[in-house]
Amino acid sequence: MKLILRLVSLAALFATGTRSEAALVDCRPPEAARFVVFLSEPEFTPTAFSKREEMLRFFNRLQEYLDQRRDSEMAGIKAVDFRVARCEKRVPAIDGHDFTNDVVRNLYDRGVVVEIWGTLDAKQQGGNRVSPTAQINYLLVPIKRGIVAGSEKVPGVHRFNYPDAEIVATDFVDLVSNMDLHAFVATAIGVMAFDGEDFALAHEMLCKAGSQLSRTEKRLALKAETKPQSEGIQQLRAFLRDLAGKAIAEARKKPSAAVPTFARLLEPGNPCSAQEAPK
Amino acid sequence: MTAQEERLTRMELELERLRPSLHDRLEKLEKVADQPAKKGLAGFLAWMGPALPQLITSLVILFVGLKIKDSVDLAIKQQQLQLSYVKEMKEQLVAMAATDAGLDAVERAAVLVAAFGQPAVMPLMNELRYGGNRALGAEAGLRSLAFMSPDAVCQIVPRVVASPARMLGWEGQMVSARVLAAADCAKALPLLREQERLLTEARAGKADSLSPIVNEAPSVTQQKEWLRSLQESIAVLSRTRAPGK
Repeated sequence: MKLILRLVSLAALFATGTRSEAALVDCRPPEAARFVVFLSEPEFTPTAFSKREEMLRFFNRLQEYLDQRRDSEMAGIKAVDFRVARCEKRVPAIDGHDFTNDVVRNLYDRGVVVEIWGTLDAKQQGGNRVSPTAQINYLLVPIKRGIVAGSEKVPGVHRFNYPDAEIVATDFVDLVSNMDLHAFVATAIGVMAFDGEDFALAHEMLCKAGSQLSRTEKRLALKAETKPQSEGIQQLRAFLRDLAGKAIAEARKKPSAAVPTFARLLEPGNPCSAQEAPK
Repeated sequence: MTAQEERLTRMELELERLRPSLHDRLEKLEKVADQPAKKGLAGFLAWMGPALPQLITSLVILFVGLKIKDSVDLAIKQQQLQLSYVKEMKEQLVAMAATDAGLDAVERAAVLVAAFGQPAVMPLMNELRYGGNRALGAEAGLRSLAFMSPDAVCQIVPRVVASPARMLGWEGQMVSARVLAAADCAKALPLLREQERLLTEARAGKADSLSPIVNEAPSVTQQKEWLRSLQESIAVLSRTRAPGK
């Protein structure tokens, strides 16, 4: 049934005129950065944008918004050296089949932490666009890469439909730049920092992400159709918590004078203390 | 007997003494002349007589001339072939470098470049320097070459990897290790083991240990990725130990 619904929605999307052809075109951030987020060009319906130029104007605005971290929640990771790359013409297949092991490894080697892609739709009312909707896919590159112990058991690709119970917006920028995105960016930076043996940053990001994702988990658990996604987020949170504990343990292996404060104050069994959301 | 008669008689005696000898010599010469001519090489040599050295000199000059002409022709033909390879490959290399080319198109172009065999190794190695889709495509092409022309890969790739010119970045070095494993280049094992040693030193904190191989030091995450590929390649080559490569 689910498959039929999916096929019907895909057919409807094609019938109404999806404007971009799926192709994994190369992408570069505006400036070199330690961590990079790939913002891929979205597919869209004619009711969302009548012309590609119109969509590109939105796309530029979104990239600028995310790259400059104007969002209050994104500001939580303001101190981290990351950039949002505007990947025009990069349109991954909607089911993510482009992300083979080789492609994911290549992204990981280039410091790409998250790739976002999806489809935008809206209704028209009196010549105006109303009720914007979006299906957004998130590729968490360090999770999908699967080299940090335990990450191979956690889903590395997440697909959410917006608006939902908590994320509501009248504008596409607000709809896409949401708390899920920020939580996933923090997650991926945390995992990659752990692999890069920057345990202080890893711990900070992993705990921050875990806290943010608890909201996502609860929100998705409210509806039966999003319950499996909620379980995926729950798995992810458990992994992040475990990794935050490992970050403390690893940081403590340094000579005693060099052990950072977080590793002195916190315990691996309860790695995020105040930040940790109640279970 | 007068003096004149005496001289005459002496001359007649002298002639009489010479006569049988002269006669014999003439007979011998006539016999030789009557014998049939010698056949084969001896006959030819006898026939050539003093002109033989000149003939040999001329033949040597002709042979050397033909040989030189053949090698020049061959060199010209090789040059023409190289030029046609360049022309044919150029189209595919341009396709690989196109900014709006999807990964499928880049990989397809790289595999077509690989179909040229040995001349394709260097252009594909060069693509590794650009990272992103171009590096992904180049690896696909080099992997094809590893199956089609392993000898070419085993001959050229280690030279590029070990070059003091440091043509490749860390990513290119990492891909090369995987390609050498795909081509069963057992002779490259010492080279890969040396890289493994340098990387292990870098991981242990010796900051400049990688400077003989790459210009820019990779990050910790990148070092770990590179080391992982190296160790996998070393394991593959240690298992296969293909003789004669």
